[in-house]
Amino acid sequence: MRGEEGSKGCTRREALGSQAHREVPDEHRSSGGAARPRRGATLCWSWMTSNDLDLAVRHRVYTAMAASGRAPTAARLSLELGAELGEVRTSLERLDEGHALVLDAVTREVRMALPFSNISTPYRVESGGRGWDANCAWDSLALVRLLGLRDAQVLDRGGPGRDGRVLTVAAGNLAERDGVISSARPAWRWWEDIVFT
Amino acid sequence: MMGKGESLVGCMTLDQCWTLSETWYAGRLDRHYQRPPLGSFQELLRRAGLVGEAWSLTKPVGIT
Repeated sequence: MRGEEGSKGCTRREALGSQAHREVPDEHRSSGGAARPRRGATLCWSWMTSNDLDLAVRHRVYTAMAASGRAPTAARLSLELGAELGEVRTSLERLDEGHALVLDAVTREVRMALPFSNISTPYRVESGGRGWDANCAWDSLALVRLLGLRDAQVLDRGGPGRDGRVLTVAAGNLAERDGVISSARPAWRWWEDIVFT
Repeated sequence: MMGKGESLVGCMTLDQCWTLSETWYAGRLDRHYQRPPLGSFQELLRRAGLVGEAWSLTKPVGIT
């Protein structure tokens, strides 16, 4: 297993039977306070529960999207977490099933980590020379809140039959308050096809 | 924002959306991206003035 080789942050214990046992640092275990991986650490996923791996995968995805606007691939997650690619893909499927992430229908890579979009969309947030794509108008405002942006431009680049618009966030406040955001589906149907929604 | 010809089911003002986004997302980076339970999100919608069938997270009774 990749997690067994040169793993940082893990101590080796005497092997029992055919399996090598490793202590999982407390910070990598599930807890009510949600443990976080140390920067640069390779996780010993073999002793983590599925929930631990799912938490680690989701956290890595969100951290990357907040930092760069794009999600790591499953292969990249496998490398960073020291987990088998198959286990990471299974974890991503669980997160997709639980609506914690949204995977692309074909590639099964991350498509959405709400409110972030992993593809270019008409809805974009720009601040301090950085930019992120959102899934919709609502998500673009949510993205500002999630990142705690004090000053930002919220762009709706428009589409067929729809004009574009720019909203301004200044000193933590939304400057323009006129206008509506609407959805073609009632809330209880959003997740029938969240990409369409 | 919807295109021409598309029906509008649920509408909220920018002000409502801005307020809802704060209560739903602010501080989430520190909370490990855990989402509140469905029930609490429904309450957040209600507090933002978003009520009625269009904003119900569960299928309303009688709808086929």
